Amino acid sequence: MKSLPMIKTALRTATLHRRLGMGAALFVLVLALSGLLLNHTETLALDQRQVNSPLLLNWYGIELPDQVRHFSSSNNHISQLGEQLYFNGQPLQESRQPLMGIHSNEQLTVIALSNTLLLLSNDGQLLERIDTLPQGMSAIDAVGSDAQGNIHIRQGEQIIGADNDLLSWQHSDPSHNINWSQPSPVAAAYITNITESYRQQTLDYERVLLDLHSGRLFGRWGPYVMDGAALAMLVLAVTGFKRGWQRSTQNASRGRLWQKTRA
Amino acid sequence: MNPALALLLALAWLLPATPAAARGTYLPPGDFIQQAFTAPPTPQLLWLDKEQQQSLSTILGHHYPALRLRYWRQQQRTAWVLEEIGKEQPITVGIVINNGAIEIFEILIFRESRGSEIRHPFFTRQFDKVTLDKNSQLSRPVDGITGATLSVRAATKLARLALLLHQQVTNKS
Repeated sequence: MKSLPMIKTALRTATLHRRLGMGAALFVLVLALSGLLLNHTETLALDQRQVNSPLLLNWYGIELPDQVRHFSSSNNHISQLGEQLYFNGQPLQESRQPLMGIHSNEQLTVIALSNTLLLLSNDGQLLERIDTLPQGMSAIDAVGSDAQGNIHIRQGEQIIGADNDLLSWQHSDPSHNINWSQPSPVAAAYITNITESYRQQTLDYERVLLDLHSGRLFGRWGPYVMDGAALAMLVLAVTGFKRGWQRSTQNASRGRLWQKTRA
Repeated sequence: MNPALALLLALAWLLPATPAAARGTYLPPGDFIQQAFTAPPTPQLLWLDKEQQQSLSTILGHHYPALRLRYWRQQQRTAWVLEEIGKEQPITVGIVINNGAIEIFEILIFRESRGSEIRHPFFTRQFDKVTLDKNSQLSRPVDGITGATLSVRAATKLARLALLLHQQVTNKS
């Protein structure tokens, strides 16, 4: 027969298991579901899916960079908002290098970043990305063209001109009349268009799920709440095992008593 | 001080600094080309047709984003500066191929927050003298690095890409 203290312990374990289970259910559900989804990030392309919800974007406090750098040449526009480049209002690529200018001619468009030149065809396709600057030049301050349409780049007082394909470079005469690309003002509608696009490109669903899983989505105390849920899962495993063990010993002793009674 | 505690404190001081220090330009691409040749030749252009784009996509697992590539060539030796995204940011690699085998493999710019271990010689020297087999795979397997899986994958893809491009420009001539 089971003693009174043993029954009391079993009842306490059962109560703890039940209360803890009910209290942690929501958090355990969040942990399990977010963990399941994160396990298949690549299959579900979660890092490619951008969050559009204004509520979530505001929750993350995603703000727009203060400045838009903008240059224009022959009806082509290049802008940089934060680390994102926009060509004629469409996202082009990310760049940590500052935008230094643009030059368009009949064949191509040259976009100068501080250490890279991007060559675009007239329909906006990327022809080439040139990371190898001419010898003796470590950065680009400006890009421009002369009266013949030849491309020149400048670093400080040093000016270097390129051939049509930008394959070979030669020092240019500073007295040449070169039209350097200058920052230009932007229309308000254009800014609205690229800023909306910027906000929508900043946050992906993988980040949101990671933050939900760790609890960081809920602010400073969120991770501690998720820690509590994880600890609750540990305790639930222990109390669950204990209850199971208590029941099995109880059933075994009942069985023995029944056999004795029959005998 | 307890030596174990001293070691822990030293690690705690070092760890946050490691990722920030690992990003950066190790060798500007222009300098890589200067070092790769005694007298660097004028670059040449390889325009990618549909078939070439297809073979590049097979290696990269995505469309190659540009329509042409520049390379430097002296006889049977070619140099390439190529980029591929590791996890989120592009990794720039300089590769010199000599007679169909990799002669120099160097990480030039690393922009990711993790996985920069691939810049070390213990990793890059695995590509020495590696060639491309008939299935466009490397002739030797490349050992991975724990915690840098995506960077290793990107570097391996670029090695295959450079070998394939070398074959195409040398066979053409």
